[in-house]
Amino acid sequence: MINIATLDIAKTHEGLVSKKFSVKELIDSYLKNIKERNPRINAYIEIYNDIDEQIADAQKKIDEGKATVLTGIPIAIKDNILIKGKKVSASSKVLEGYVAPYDATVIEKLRKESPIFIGRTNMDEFAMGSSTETSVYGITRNPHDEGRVPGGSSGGSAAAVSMNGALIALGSDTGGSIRQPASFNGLVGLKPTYGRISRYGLMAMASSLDQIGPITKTVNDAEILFNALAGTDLLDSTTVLPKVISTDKKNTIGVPFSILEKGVDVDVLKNFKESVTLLEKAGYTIVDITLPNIDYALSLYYVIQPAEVSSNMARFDGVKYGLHVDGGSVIEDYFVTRRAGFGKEVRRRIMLGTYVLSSGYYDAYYGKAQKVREIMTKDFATIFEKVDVILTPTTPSPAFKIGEKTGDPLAMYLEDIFTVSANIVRVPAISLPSGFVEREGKQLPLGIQFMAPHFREDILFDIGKKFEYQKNK
Amino acid sequence: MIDRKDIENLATLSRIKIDEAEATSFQKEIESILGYVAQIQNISSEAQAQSADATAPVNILREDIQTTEGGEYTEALVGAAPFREGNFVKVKNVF
Repeated sequence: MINIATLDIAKTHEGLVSKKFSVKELIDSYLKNIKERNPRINAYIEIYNDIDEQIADAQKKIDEGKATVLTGIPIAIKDNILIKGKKVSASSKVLEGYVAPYDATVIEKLRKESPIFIGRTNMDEFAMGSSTETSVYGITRNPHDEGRVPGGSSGGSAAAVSMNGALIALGSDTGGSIRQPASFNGLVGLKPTYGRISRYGLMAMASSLDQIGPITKTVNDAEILFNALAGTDLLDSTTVLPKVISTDKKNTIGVPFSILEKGVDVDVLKNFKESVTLLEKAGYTIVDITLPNIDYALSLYYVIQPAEVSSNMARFDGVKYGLHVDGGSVIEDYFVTRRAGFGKEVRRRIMLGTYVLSSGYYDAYYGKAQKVREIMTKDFATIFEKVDVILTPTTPSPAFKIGEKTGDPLAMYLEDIFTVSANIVRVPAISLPSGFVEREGKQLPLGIQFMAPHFREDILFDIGKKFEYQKNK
Repeated sequence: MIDRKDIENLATLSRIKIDEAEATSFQKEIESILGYVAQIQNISSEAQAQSADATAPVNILREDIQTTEGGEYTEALVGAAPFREGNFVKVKNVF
């Protein structure tokens, strides 16, 4: 039996090419685990039915000496990324029965390396949520404490990796949806620079903020997966070639200490300070920085994001695909289909977005938010002249209990307080496991987040590996 | 700030059917969220003036050429519709 809990991509690849184990033995170990844990955790909402063919294909590549590092590696895919011929629904009733007519660019890129696509993972409906509690397929539980949420919206992807139901996973991040669940599951989660990975075939939530990214166990694995996915794509005109602003390595980390003064759990703060000490040991200088407009980040996020949501969700009308509920006339069909197809959070955001875009309120909300977004972008550029990265906790508190925040949308939105800025200013950000805190006898993972200048994922990987090394020493 | 009529109007603009109970809860929740996000209106005029010279986004274009064969995706796309007639998506009479 393979001890899958200790594997990373490099070790797995080595085991496969040296014939220590076959692809089938490897995948069977994961499937066994899924069979035991998934009925309770609900990380996967579907296990694909062509895994045997995928295994045969990957094994053939290995036997012929054509394997790459991702060949045979089990990967979980968030339910908003299209794989041709497979069901995909963004965990929404409105896409009931929908089958993807084409591959997302990220899937097409991965196919060349023949990883094993294990299944599609649960998520907050259309990625709107921070707890994976708004899915039509029911909640996902946190493998570290089944009474708690796995985070969200990529909660299924994070739980799949953390319960050893896949080695790596793809998620999407609009305001923290990769980093926060990675943090709640003791994993690495990367939100790349806007435009670095094609979103063709990713169901759009808020198009000026969405990015696809990896959820993995190690920084090295995140780097491998990121490199496999990054690049320009004619089918996503927001993808760009990296315009790397060369900066001198300053070995300096900026910490906005003032924003940690209120609203952060004491144990999270304690763990954060320990992480800061470790980084000092690794040779970094810590400087206290001020981000003058950071207090506006969450507000502007909850203007721009619902505005874009209201526009992107307009396509679900019961005519082109998915659910159709009959209302008697064309227009009535829209009203009843959208009422029956969208969950409450999605409907709330569509209406909120419609409000901030409507005549009379546009300037006060959406117009203003766009201006603040430009100002924040400049603030970050100024800070990055002085520091290599900005460090914060990933979330203000560890994983919360199931149902704890479902009654209060604003409380749920506050989960994103440290993560939204990277999406707003389009910079890359990574969440790294930073330790555990005990709650009611259970060890709950915590995470720290680094943000780097545009296109400088390389800095995040470098500092991430150094932090990992200090942590494991 | 937001009254019941506003909520009903938003639901109509959003093409979403809404009932009494939900209008009540949406009114409360949307008002609370708008109360929070309204703080962006406090941004100083000095800060606003700074934003004027931010770099503008650039358009990315491709050649205006045919990239797929005619009919290549017809079955997959029309087949996804709840109702079809031949190669058309079928809808009710608009008028």
